[in-house]
Amino acid sequence: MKVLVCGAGQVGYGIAEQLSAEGNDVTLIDVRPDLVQKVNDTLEARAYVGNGAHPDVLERAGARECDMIIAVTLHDEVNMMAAQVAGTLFDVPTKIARVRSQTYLNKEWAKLFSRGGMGIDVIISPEREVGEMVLRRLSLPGAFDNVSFAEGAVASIGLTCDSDCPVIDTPLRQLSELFPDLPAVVVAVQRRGEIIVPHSDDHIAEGDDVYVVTPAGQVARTLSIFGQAEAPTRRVVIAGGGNIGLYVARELERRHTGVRVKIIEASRGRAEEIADHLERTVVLHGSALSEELLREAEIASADTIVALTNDDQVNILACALAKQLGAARSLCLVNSSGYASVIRSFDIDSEINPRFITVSRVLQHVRRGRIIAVHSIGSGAGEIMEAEALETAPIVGKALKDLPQLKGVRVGAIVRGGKVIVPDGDTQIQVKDRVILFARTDNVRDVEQLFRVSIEFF
Amino acid sequence: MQISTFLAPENALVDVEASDKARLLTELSARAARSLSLEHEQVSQEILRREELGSTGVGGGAAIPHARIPGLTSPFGILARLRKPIDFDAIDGKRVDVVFLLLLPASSTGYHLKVLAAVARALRNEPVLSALRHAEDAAGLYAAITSAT
Repeated sequence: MKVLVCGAGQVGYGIAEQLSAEGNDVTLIDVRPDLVQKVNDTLEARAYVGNGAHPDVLERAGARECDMIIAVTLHDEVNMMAAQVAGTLFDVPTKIARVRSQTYLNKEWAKLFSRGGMGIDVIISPEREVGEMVLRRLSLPGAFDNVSFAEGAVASIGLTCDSDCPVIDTPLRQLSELFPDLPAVVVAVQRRGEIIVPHSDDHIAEGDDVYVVTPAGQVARTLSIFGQAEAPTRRVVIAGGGNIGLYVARELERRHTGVRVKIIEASRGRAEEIADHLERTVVLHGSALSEELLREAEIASADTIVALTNDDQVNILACALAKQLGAARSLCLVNSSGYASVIRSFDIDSEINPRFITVSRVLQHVRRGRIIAVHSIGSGAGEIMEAEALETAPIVGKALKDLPQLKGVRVGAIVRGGKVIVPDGDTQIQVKDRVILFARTDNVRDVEQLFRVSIEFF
Repeated sequence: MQISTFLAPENALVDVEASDKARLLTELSARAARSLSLEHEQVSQEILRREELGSTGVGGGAAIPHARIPGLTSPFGILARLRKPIDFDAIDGKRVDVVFLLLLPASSTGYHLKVLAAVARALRNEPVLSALRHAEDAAGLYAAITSAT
């Protein structure tokens, strides 16, 4: 498919990287010549210098022939305008825009993006989604990754298996013998940076990151079996009072009255501003890298330090420092993927990369067939997907073990009529089943084909 | 099943220009909507939604985009031969130059499968496809498809 991406920053570049690697025809537009140069030098994609909201720029970049526009520049207004121009003048079928400002996202103005309004099909709001991700991680401290599927019926959780993890060196087959009533499937293992699709003979090694799919009601038990049962979060220190920090603090106030929050914000003006928006949260003005200020925030008794400033280095160092001063856990926002390899040595328990969250959302719309949700893991090495099996799709009616396309794919759960089923090789997918599975990036196309309906489908 | 029962001579088109699949389908849907006095958006949305679930490119350069349309009382078809083949994400990966757009009543059941089967049979038939590609004009295109069954 032909995709036009406006904005070649972290997010735009990440989307272009993934989509072009999958063989899509990708064109980028950015006002900055250096970013355009970088794309032309490093990706199988074309890039032009220009303003993505300008009709002549869009036309030159091939808007007339493209299937999708993804507008992810730094400016909401440019993104909205680019999507609208692409739709109005060039009939681009799918329009996705990133919009950060909360006022545009207010339910009261929901009509703005509708067909009769600006006609934008998908609005991506990374701040809000990153904020939700932070809240999910805080609610499940033992997991470094936590997403839900099938309207909350199924969870996929990421766990690190430390030396004290009780199931280390146990073959997965034995795991189900030891805990026959534990409906959990290990769908992917990340070992020394590489993603492995595990088989029942494989075992989990110390230091592995495992992704486990399980019914929502079994999450706590799964965590304790993997040695990651942790007390709920009571005290949180947030570094950075930007949009995400404020969102998280506000929602914590709103949802979990028991959680006590302190925010450290470097700008005095901003600190005063957010203090006005918060009721019980304590706002401290100063640097999150100041030992004195961290002590003032009672970091030693904090369950979690959450570093959400817009500077990766500050976030990483703030987490490291806070842990040294006694914080139990750290959760770090990291925009650049360049730090992936060093992050573990800084004793960071869990990281959040806004780029992957946005890329996941975009992929959901690029995937064909009945793909309902996509969660990109392992720096884009694979995806946990939710798909619906429709009549005439090749996956229907055959035992999973008889589908050669599922090599390199692991099915974690099936939701049938509201009930969660843990599949084995003999399980047959039925029409209307929701299937939650993991696929390595090179197998995604096979999965798409399995869920693609045949010609006689209406 | 006679294709002429749901394809009128004026709906056989040659030399249709389209830059890509989505725009072609939107264009053909608009044309269908006009002759059926339906809402343009309603038709194109159904057609595009069906296409998202799996391409209707049946291979050999032919495609049969189709949908059920509420308010429609009998099957309706448009046959378009493109000036230039376009990417259709077809089952065999080949570009498509013969497109049969098919709209069916929302309530029809076994009957619509027969209509679809008749079109699919014709477009999977090598001599018929060849005759469609070599037809001189719209009348020749119509003759080639209606003599297929």
